[in-house]
Amino acid sequence: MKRIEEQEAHAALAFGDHDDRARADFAFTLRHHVTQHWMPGTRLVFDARARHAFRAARGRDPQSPDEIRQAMDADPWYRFYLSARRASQEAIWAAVVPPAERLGPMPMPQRPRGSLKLDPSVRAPAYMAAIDIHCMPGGYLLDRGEGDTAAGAVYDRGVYLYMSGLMGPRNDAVGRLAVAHLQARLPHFRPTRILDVGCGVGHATLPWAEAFPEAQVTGIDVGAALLRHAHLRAEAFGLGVEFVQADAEATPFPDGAFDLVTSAIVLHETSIRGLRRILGECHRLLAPGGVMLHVDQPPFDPDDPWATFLQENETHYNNEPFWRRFRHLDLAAEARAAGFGRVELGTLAAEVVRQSQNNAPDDPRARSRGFLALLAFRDG
Amino acid sequence: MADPFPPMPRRAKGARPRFHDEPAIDRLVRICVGLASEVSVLADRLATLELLSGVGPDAVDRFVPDAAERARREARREALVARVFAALDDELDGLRRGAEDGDYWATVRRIEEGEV
Ligand SMILES: C[S@@+](CC[C@H](N)C(=O)[O-])C[C@H]1O[C@@H](n2cnc3c(N)ncnc32)[C@H](O)[C@@H]1O
Repeated sequence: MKRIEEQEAHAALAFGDHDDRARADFAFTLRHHVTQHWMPGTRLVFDARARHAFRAARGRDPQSPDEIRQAMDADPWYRFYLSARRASQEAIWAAVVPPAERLGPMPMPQRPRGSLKLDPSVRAPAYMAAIDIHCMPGGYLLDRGEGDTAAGAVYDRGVYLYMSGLMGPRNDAVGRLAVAHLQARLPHFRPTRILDVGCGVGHATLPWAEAFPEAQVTGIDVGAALLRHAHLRAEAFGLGVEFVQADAEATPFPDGAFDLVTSAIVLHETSIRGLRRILGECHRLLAPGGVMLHVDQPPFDPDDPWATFLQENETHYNNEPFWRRFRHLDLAAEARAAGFGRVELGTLAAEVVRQSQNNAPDDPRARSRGFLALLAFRDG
Repeated sequence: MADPFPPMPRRAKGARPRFHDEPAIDRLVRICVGLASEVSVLADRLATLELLSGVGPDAVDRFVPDAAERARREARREALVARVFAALDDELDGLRRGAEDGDYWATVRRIEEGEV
């Protein structure tokens, strides 16, 4: 599945010139080809070749994800596929970095509805600085000084290409899923102070501001250039959001400052220690009776070692250091350990989710899979 | 106006995995992807020109670039070569900055085990 409609332009987005666009279009085409044609081909290679080679050597079929990996690693097509897949990821960034780089310092809006508070004393956790996640050059933290929005511009375009346009023209499909889930589960809950942790450029923040226009919506992230881009972008779309530079593990807000704390696809990019601290901080920030909602990748299905094998490739080959461990975690138990009394797990299924699942799209089980929604309540 | 910002990195922190025993193959794969991208860009550009100009193939064949146009094209080809063969430069860049990247799997372990 893909969506050819172009991403919605806004004041902070950098498409570049004709050839920059054409290069991004090619990265889009290649990425889609990788996920829809080559990735399903891995199963063919397994059934036709790798499984038999393993059986010839070991007298039985590979069973665990690790054994499947051993079997596949020996196959020349599979290796070539991995190599080309990595190159396709690099092609996305090679296409979107140059136009972002040419932006120069961006003037901030004169009379904004929302606000931007940067705090240079905020220190990034080590897991953010050690490896550039999903191979984005410079990572989330690249900040070349006042007015620099390039990391945000790169991320904004990169997400659109990486997700084959299925995030929607505003890259907000995950945020919309989260809002719809909350509204379906708690139709009478009207949060008035909402915090989006790890907001990035605000892709999942703006749907909250749209759904609850009377609420004060705050987004925090560590990356200053992401937040400048987020601020410009929110204002361009006419939404007032407060963006604050802060570490989600230790925020500057007082106890009980929010009645809804949420995040979208953040927790899998932290560390086991970071995740626990973030859940603890969410608990501290919620007023009694407040709600926490995190949306992220679901845990691995122990009955589907093939899907686990494919998914673990993100840690092996796409600079996703915590992804693999995260998906073995019992998040409900983690939330309870952070002090939450009532915890509910839900599944959010959608086209965009299947794309990011990196699963065999022709596997019927992939249809029912979705993002995990971790909903938890702070005792009143 | 001079751009006050330093250039952005073109290469992600974290060692690039090896997929083939012979590293030249991984390099060639990247180069092929880069080339395919450039060919695709050119095809799009030609399609744009044909749409906008109505200039036929005869006029194109008769055309000989002057010195200024030759210089422009040379600069464009140089940039193309740098992009297509970035795999080689990246590796040198990695060697130069090797100390910064550390050991990817040591970092994964530290993250998984909660040391950071
Ligand atoms: C995959 S992005 C998701 C961004 C956004 N939530 C969205 O849906 O587009 C993960 C974000 O989490 C942020 N992040 C990771 N760890 C963080 C921490 N400890 N404090 C604040 N932000 C963090 C990163 O900077 C990055 O912007």
